[in-house]
Amino acid sequence: MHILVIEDDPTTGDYIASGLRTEGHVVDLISNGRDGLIQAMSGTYDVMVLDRMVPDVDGMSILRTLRASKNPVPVLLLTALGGVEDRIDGLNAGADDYLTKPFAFGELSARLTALSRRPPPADEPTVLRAKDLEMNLLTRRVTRAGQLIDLQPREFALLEHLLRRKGRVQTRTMLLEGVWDIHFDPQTNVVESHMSRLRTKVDKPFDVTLIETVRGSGYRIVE
Amino acid sequence: MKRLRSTPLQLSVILIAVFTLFMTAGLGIAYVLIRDALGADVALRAEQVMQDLRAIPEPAERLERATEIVVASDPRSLMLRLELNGETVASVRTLPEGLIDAEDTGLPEPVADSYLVRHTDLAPGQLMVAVGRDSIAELNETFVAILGFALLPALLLTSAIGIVVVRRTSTRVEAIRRTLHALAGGELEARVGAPHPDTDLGDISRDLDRMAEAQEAATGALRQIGADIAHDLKTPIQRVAVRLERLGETELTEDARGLLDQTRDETSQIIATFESLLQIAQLEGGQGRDSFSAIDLAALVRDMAEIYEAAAEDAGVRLTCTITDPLPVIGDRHLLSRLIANLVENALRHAPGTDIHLSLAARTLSVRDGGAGILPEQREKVLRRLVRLEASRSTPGSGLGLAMVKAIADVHGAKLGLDDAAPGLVVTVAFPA
Repeated sequence: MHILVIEDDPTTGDYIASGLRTEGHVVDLISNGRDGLIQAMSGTYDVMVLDRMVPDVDGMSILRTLRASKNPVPVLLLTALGGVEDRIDGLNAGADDYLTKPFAFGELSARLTALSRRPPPADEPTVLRAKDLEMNLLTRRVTRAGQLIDLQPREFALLEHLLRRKGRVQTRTMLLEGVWDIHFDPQTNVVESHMSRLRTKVDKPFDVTLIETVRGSGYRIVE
Repeated sequence: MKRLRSTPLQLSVILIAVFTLFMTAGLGIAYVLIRDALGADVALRAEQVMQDLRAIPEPAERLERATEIVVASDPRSLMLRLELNGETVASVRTLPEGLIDAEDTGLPEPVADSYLVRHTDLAPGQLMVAVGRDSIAELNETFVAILGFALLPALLLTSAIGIVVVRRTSTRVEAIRRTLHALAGGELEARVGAPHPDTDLGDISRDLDRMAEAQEAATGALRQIGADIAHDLKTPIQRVAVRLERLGETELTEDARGLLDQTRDETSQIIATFESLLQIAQLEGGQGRDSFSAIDLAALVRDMAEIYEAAAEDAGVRLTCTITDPLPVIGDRHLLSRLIANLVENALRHAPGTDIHLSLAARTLSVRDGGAGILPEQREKVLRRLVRLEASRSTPGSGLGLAMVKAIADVHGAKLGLDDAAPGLVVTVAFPA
């Protein structure tokens, strides 16, 4: 992927850029808003990482200018402010996702992957599959190796979320936001508890593990 | 009821009442005085006629004079009747139209009220004089006309002016009241708005707008400071996190790895505390209201109970929830889910091993645990920022959980209460109707 990163702090910028390069992406790192705006308007990128507070032209203005010129490139907004209104302001200005500093690289990487690979909305499957597991979205039946698995509504939603993003890492916070619509960091292991219940039903009775834990980042369904 | 309490309205009503009272009293007194004077005139006229005729001793001459008097006066205002030895010798009169002349019986009955009737002995003979009270009837008509053409329009006019004045001032007073209310509720952009008329109320509204302007600027500056602090502190924290992550990628001894993990945990604790402090400050500055919408609190509480059920079970706690009816509330979904989460996590942390019960009744959310509770004298204290009771120092947590709950409740206009659940603590959040 071709990624534009606009971040004024050199340590954070290098960290993001080198991490993304290690993953095989092509990264342009820009450290001020004016150059960032010119680069964002002229180049063609698959996804952008935009710090909200950069010198010269702030991130929100860059974002608004992009959207005003009908540029649909997915933008992840990085910010020091984690308040409800700050998040809503960012999303209203046209950001596709929002990440509060400080963040772990795994979180950023997983979110960028999610942004760049948004499925077209028209293409709506009725059956989701992973190996020998099948989820029918119409009948809401889940089977594995022909065996019916009885899931609670939220367990179903959690599994559906993972299946729709098969092979991609879903972090704890992405699951909280996507499955439960929770936008803060609970101090209790709510995700882990639900995941362990889901695994007991989906993975435990079978030989092959479907839901994989990715060290330090999150979970993913094995492709 | 609010309109009745309006000062201009009360003043107008009092003014109109006083005006009406004095006008009516003045007219009344004038009426009485004029009527008395006219009555005296009528009596005097009767007296004059009697004296005039008494002075003439000869009956024939007397009759002649009587006819002269009647002809000279208004034909309806005077009647005379002369009698001699019990017989009517002459009745000199012009009757008002419609009255039947009954010479024998004297004055017709229906006329009696409209005339002042006097009898006198003329020696010889008798005289009756009836003077019409027409002038008094005219006086009544005149006064009715004064009432109808002067007082009533004056009254209507003053009332109309009163209404206009009341409308105008009460609109302005209402605008000022609404602005103050909005400002007190945290809507810092609320203004009475120009034009400010050159009146005392206009001065007040102009000053109010100026004050609101200053307050908004100050709050804006405070927000900017908050944003700057957040940026300036979070950037180095971000760097620390980056370096710790880099460090984790290198070869480390077992001890170093352990230290690294501890440092990471501490860093995330610092971040969580800082994040909470910032959010509480933002909430106390009135932020969050812009995203308010109608939500069903019952559904939200159920969702949150479901989210925490598994985690509670893992901690050996039963989390139950009794909710029946939907409860519509105007608020922010994310903030309210945070409020419920903080209360549940508080219970999990400070009342370990005891069951947690969530309920919703009479617009009040209750979260009850079976732990040690909080002493009454310490309840106020725990709502303050960073306050942690001695007994809870050993348990993890930032000491901001309840302060955040309070800030969120305040922004929603909800009342937060801590009570004894005997045993345990029950936290109630009462939402306004």
